[in-house]
Amino acid sequence: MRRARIGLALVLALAAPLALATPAGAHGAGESKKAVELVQQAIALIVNKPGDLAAAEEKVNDALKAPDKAGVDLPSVEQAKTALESRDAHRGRALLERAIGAKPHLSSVEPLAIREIPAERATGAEPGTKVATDPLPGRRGLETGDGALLLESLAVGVIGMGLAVRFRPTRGAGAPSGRGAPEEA
Amino acid sequence: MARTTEVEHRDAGAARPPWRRRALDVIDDRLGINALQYPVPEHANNLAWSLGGVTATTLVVLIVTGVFLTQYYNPAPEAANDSVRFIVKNVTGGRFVRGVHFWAAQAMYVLAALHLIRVFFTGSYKKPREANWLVGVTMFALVIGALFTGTVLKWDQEGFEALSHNLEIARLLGGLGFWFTANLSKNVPILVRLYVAHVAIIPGLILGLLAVHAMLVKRHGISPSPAIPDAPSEPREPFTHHLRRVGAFGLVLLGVLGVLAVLFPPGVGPTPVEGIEVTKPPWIFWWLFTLENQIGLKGILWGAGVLFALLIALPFVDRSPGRHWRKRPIAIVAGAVVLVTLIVFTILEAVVTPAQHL
Repeated sequence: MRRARIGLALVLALAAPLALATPAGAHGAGESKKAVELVQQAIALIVNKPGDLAAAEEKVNDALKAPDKAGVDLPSVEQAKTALESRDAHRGRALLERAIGAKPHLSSVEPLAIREIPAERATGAEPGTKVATDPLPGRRGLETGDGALLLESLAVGVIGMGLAVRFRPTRGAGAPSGRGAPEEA
Repeated sequence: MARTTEVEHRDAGAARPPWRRRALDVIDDRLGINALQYPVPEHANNLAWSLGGVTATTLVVLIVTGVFLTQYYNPAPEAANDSVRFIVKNVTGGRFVRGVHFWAAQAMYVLAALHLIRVFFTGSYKKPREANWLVGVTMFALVIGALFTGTVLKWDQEGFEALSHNLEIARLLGGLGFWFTANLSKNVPILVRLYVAHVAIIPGLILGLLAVHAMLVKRHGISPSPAIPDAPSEPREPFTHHLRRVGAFGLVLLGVLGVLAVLFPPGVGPTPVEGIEVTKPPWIFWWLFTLENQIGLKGILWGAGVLFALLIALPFVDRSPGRHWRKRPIAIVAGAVVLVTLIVFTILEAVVTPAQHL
């Protein structure tokens, strides 16, 4: 019992500093100097964190100030900035997509067919895609055939349980429950 | 000739063995399957002692569902995310099979971890089973590798950020991290190489080590249960009884995986964009990312390194003959500290907002 208390105290002592510590900051290669990349990042932030537009607004501001503005329609970015400031994420995202020549919001509705790969292929660790698409949620309610799959899965599980009971050890001895005396060393 | 033998049997009035027995004899003559009938202690059929076998059944599920998924998955970075969406939305049964694959991967990690904890708790890594412990720890590392590569393959923001972390860690490792750098093979996207690792290299290594693991279990026997003081007098059962109970547990698991796949199928995140960090890794890696939040990227490297160094060192440090937990207070307290630390770190990551590290 005393040992268990010592163990618990050790664990708490180990965990406490971590609970109180502050997170380490960014240490990466730094902000991109290309407006087109910053606009792509702003779109991705809107898609990934739709409830928090502050980071996307920051990226839009960075894009407007970026030294390399090639390939970006700046008036659209300015409009997107206004839209994001008024919390209109949908319009802000569409304007940003237009600003870099992307098809607004359609990629998840009309996903790129597998064979239609852009001519420029990604190498190394490049993502290969230019604009963040909407996520595809996992759970969208039960679909056709799901009921049958559910029943079949349940049946398999029940059969397994029945067999596990039938094949259980005859005496049921030896469960590592702490019963019985420790073995002789 | 066979007819003559049948007639001789009838003439002699001898009862023919049932067809199932005869079929098994025919197979045994050629494959020697009766060798699996070797005796093992009865406690081998308990759930705690069957965890390794159940983990192996998840491997079978993962291979079968994985073969299905490879028919439709496209590992080119431009198409990978869309091909996963295609599987989910357009392939008959695709969403279900992907769901089973996803949940089987989680189950394999949990079962392998529980198996490892059981082996630790019952002192089954002790002499003469040290080598088999090391084989098991290596397999556990490979399971984590399979989970990592599987996370990257869906090529969404989460997968891409996971890869970005690994590229940075490879940089920290210098020459040792060469495999994870894009420079190794400049014309081939790293996603394609990770795909090869996920479908061939890692499963191949796991299968090879599984054979060694099973062979060593046969060589040393199922480890004795410390809860049974008089081990030699424990009843014995054929190993095939252990296999059939593992099969039964495997069916229960398959049923659970099917239910989870229907009710909670995994989604697909947005296509990835470089330069942002907005997602959390899969829960399996949360404890490492708590360390990263505190001490930076090196935390991941150090955390994983220390954990596996401890696992590897265990059978060489804890050499006392006692297997019962009451006789190993230092090892048990140390193990509990490590386990609770991992759980606390995991919970800490669950409650924080993802931070920008890269």
